[in-house]
Amino acid sequence: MNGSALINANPVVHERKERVTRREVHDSSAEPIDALEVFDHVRDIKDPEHPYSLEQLKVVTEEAITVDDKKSHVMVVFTPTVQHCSMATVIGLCIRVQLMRCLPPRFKIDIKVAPGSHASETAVNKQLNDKERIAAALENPNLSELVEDCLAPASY
Amino acid sequence: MDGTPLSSSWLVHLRAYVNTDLPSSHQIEGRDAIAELISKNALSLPRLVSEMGDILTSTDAVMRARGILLLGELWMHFVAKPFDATILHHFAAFFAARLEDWHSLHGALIGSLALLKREKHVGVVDNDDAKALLKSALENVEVQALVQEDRMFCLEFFECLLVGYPEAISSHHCLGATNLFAEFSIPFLLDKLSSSLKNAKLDSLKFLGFCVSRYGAEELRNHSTAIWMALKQELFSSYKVEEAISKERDNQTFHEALNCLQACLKLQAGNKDDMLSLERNSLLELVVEDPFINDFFDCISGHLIQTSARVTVCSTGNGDIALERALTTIKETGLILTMAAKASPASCFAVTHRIFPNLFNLLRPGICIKGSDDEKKFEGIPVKSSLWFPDDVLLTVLEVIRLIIEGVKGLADSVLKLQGTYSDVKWIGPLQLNSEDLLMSFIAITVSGLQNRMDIDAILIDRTWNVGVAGLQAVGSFPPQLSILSRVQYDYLFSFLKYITLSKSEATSLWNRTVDAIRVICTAEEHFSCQGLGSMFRDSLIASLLKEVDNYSESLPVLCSLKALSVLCTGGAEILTNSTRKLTELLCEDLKKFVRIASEEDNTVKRILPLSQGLLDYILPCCMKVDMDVEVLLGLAVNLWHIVENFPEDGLLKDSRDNIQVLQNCLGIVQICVFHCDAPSQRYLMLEIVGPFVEATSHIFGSLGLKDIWLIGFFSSMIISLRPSIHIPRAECVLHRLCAGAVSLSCGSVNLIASEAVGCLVNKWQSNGVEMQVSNGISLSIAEALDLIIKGEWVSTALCNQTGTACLEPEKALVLKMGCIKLLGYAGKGLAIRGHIGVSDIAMLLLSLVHCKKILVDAKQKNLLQFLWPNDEERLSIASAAADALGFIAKDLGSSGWRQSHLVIKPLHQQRFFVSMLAPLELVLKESEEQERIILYYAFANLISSIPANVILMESKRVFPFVLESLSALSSAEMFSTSLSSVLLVLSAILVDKNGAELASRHLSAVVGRLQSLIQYQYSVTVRETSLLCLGTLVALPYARVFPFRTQVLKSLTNALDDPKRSVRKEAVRCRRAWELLTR
Repeated sequence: MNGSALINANPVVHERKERVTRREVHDSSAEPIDALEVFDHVRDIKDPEHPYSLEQLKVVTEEAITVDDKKSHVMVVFTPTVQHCSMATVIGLCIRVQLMRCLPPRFKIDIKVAPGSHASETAVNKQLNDKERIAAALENPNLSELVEDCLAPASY
Repeated sequence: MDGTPLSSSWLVHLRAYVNTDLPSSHQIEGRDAIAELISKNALSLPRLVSEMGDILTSTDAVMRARGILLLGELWMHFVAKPFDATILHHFAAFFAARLEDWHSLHGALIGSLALLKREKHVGVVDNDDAKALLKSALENVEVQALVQEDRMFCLEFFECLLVGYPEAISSHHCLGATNLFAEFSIPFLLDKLSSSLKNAKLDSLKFLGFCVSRYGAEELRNHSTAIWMALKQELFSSYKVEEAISKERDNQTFHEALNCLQACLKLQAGNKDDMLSLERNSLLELVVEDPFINDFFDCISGHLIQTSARVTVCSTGNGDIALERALTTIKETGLILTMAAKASPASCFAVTHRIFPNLFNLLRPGICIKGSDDEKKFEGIPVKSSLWFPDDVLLTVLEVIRLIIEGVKGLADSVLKLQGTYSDVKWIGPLQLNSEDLLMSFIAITVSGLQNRMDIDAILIDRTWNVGVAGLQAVGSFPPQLSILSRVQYDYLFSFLKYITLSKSEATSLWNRTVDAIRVICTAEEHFSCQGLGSMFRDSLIASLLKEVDNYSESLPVLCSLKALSVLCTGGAEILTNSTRKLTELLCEDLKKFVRIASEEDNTVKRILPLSQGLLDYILPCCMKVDMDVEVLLGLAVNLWHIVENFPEDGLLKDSRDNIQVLQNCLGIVQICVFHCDAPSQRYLMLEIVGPFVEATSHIFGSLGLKDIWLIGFFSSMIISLRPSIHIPRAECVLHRLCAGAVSLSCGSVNLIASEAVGCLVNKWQSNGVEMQVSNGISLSIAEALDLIIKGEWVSTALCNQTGTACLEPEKALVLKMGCIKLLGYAGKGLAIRGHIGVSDIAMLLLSLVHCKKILVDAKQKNLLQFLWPNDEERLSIASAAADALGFIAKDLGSSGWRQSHLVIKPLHQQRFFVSMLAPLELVLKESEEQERIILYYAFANLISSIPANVILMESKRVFPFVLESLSALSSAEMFSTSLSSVLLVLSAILVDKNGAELASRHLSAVVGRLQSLIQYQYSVTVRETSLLCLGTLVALPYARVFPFRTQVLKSLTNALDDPKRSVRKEAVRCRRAWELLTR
């Protein structure tokens, strides 16, 4: 950030949601992947700009995640902190990479910005769900380093 | 510079200053000369101090004082000279320490002051040092006692602290240093109290309490009105509008205010002769005469009128604001009054005198006990007792009363501790005057709870009894010199408690509380070391309880009686002994009848079960706590034995669950009794019982009767509890019989205990160097005893002399064989624990059974092995039973279910056994076929699962191949999943060890391969999780070795990410992340 202006200079930091420890089920019944589990994967991703997690900035919430285990589909809707946030694509990229790593490959992952939360909503959505552009982005060493940085386990 | 003439010259100055014989002008010259040297940096302070060492530590107080004064004055001289922080720190610590020495106080004070006076730019002492100085000064310096000059220094010292180190001084002590401050500090603190900041309030309350207690009663009197008005603001939420609205009480402030009030009230000495006349305007008078007490009464009377008008049940928690308000007022006032009552005898008198008469005037109409014409004479329970209905307000009021009484009791205790005796008991007067009402109200609320228990919810009813019984307990347990109850009232209280105890209705919680209350009342009496009414009452109650057990009435279950007995008897060894004797008699009586009675409807059968259970669960544990007479325990064991010995041969006892339970209880009782007997009694016992046992069981074993089962059980229990030094006569017969009993089919219920007895027998055999004597006077060594087991002649005894298993039905034969294997396990464990080499014989025998090859055994084992040899159907069950037995031998003593009973234990026996088993295992594995190995690995897993990790790590080189092999072998069947996870845990321990990691990296391909297949293991979630964990730790191995597996592992993890179990998925994500990061 060395001197260059932050896009959102004054973000609001929210309380972290309590980690839910689920009751262990000891029978052999299957436990389908649900929204909370997906949320657990993405909540600790660091914001590219601030030393806070996406959860703390309320960029992602459990409610904005829809999972259909049977149809192998996940949809994550995230809310950038400001309308013209140029980091929205980076955040989306981080979420996608994280989910690609954490979910079984059968899942189709859709990532969108929340309706009305971004100035160029359609463009961002299109970019985030374009395979070619994702692959290209990850080949960019600078960008991939930024993503890895955000995905590194939190140290606070 | 040192060593020059200069250095010797300053020593002259030093001596001049220290020498008190010289005129003061010389001294001052000397000091100034040294100061000059230091200011020119010709002499350093540390050097000066080291040269002064002798002076500063001299036993001559005058010289020491001079030395320290010199240092102090030098520092005064150098207030403006820069010094570095270390020197300042050392001197601060030095002066703080010297303040203790009153001889050198003057010098130390000057020095401390000089240090504190320093300006920032020349280096100042830090906060911690300032704190240390302050602390020392407060502890050691009595300002008033000092001469004027020193007093001035002192005040300057405190001033410097206040100005320069406000953080350090935020301790309240200095304000309380002298009562000269009172005039200023109390108004200041009260002003601070009115602040809206919580911290400021807390601070000032803390300061106020402390300072006032330091200033003394005189100063308090001058400010009492102001203090009380300020405290009231904090104590009553009604004054705080905003808090009342938010309903959020600031508990911390409230309690701090209470503490402050108590500190102030402690100063009230009271008028000795006439406690009634309170000093005008004293704080106590202000508190007691304050209108808030009237509010308190108004709340109560208002509520009582309301409930009596409504008559019907007043539901609580209807959100009634007035009710809430009333509750809060009562609670707050109650706490204040409690605090006030327990502050000092005088305040106790004032408070109780003010409160109780009025309070009971309000309450008395509800305490009407109907159904007893003469209240003093207790005839049964006052069944139609009270007009009260337990509701929130009433309970709160009674709770307040109880709190006050308990507070007063605490005060009484502390007065006794302080004075040793009660010189004055007047202050307890008001309580004594109102004792009747106190007693009756708690009884009434308890009874009311009993009567209305169907109509009220469980929480409220529980609270009712809690209040009632706790109140009775508080009223009853005053020290006898200060007892508030009269003799008649005590009797009444006790008969009420007795009634509750003896008539156990469904009110279990009331019953439990009552029994405990009786115990507390009686022990309180013992605490004051006087035999009083309480213990008399307890004795009579115990007698009634015993009678109750004797008569076996339905009203009070036997188990409850015994529980009550165990609670009441704690502390009194004599009474416990007597009760135990009585119960023992009853048990013997029952046992005699027990076998003769066929019908289970009979009372004996009904009583013996709870009686034996209660003895085992409640009474005997109590006996163990006090130093019980051994004779009683021995008597119990011997008597029971004789009864069993005289059982008729044709007992009628059915094999019902209850009957077996009785047997187990009796065995437990015998075991505990014998365990706690001393060596001579145990020796006596052995002489008494061995002969009859051997005689009685000499007949053919095959057809065991009821009597034999009981005999074997009893005998085994006694053998288990013996001390190692006890000599057992006719040991070889005993061993033979026990072995036969352990496997005999007709005594299923005692098989296990007989096996345990065999284990104990070999464990303690000959441990004191004296060999066991056998029948014909020849002694038998442990090796020979072991041979006796291994040769297995007892098997034929158990089989009623039939030569083989051929004549038995196949299922029975299998059961018999299993019993044998279990017995071998116990015997092996007994040997392993004492570290005896003989365990290997048994282990080899078991290993041959696992392996199903007779390669490891020698001639003498042939017979037993022949008998145990499985036919084709039995093979798997025998092999796994043998593997389990091996695991049992290796198991930790605590988790093996083997009761601790004077065992001879050699340290590290588990490790020794485990290591000794590795070579034979290697051998048999080499010789075995592919499919036979599975069960061998199962045995290995059993062995390794309870061995401490560090032992395994020492042997990691030998263990590692086994671990790898068992991972693949055991994954074939579901029955091995537990073993599999314990082997995986071993692997995870090896992987994080340095040597182990090296091993793993050498066999990485095998490790990865096995773990990869195990993450798909369908039978156990734990196995999948643990293997993912292990896989994750692999990345810590050398990069060059691990990296080639990256793609392979990541690929296999894809499946784990889709595992049906969430915990596995989570572990998979973690593992994947670890492998993913390997690129960088």
